[in-house]
Amino acid sequence: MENGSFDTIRWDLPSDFRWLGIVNAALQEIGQALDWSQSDLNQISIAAIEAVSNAIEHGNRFQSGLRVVVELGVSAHRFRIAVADDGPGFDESRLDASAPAPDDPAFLGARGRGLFIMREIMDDISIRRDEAGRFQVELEKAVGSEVGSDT
Amino acid sequence: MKVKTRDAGDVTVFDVSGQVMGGPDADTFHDLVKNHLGDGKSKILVNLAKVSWINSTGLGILIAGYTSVQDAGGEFKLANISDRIESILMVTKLAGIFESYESEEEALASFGA
Repeated sequence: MENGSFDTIRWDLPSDFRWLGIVNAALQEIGQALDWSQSDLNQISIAAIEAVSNAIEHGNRFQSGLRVVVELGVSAHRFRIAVADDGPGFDESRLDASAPAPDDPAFLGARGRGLFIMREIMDDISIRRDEAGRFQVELEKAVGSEVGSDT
Repeated sequence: MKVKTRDAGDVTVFDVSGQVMGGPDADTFHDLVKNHLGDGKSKILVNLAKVSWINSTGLGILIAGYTSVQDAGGEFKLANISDRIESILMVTKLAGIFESYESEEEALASFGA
C-alpha cells in the first residue's frame, strides 16, 4: 500500500447500522471537496459501507458493547479506509476466493458477496490485527484525474 | 428499511425506503413476499426510488425475494434504481439477473398479462 501523506478522520462507532450515515455523509462531502468523479464516489461509498456494515453485522454481531473503529484517509490521488472490529475475522485465503459464475447455481445464494464487492471495486485489500488486537480490513483505491501519473 | 405495499392492477408494488442492509429486515421482506405469494399475488415490482443505499446483505434480501417469486412462477422486477445501486448490481453481475426499469410506468408495462 502507498505510504504517502493521508489526511485522516477516525471514528469509534457503536455496532449499529444507524451510524453508517455518518460515514456515508463524510464520503459525499470529501468526494465533492476533492472533485472525485461520480463513479469514483459511488464505488468508494459502496466499498466503505460494505466494510463498515460487515464489521457491525458479521464482526461484532450488533453487540452494543463492542465498537467499530473506522479510519478514512485521503491524499491527493488516493483513498484509504481501515475498519476494525472485535470479531474473529476470517482467513486471508478468502481474499482470493473467486465468486460463483452467473451460470453456477451458487450464484443466487443470498450471502457471501461482501468481500468480492470490496475486492472488485478497490485496488488493494488487506487484513491484519491492529495495535489493540482487533481484526482490521484495509482498502485502498486510486482516485482523481491524475490516476496513473508519475507527477 | 421500510416497505409499504400497494396494488397497481395485478402487480403489487413494494415501495422500499431507507437503507437495505439485512439484519431483521431480511425476514420482514421475505415474509412479505411469501405472504403475497400465498395470496396468489406473484407479480411484484420493487420500487427503489427512496433507497439511499444497499449492501451485500441487502442484495441477498432482493435475491431471496427474486428466487421465491421465480420458483412460484411469478415475476419480480426492480424500478427506479439509482446510479449507486446500479453500480453494485454491475459489480456483482446481478444486473443480468434482475429485470430493472428506470421508471415505475415502464416497469408496470413490462409485466405479462
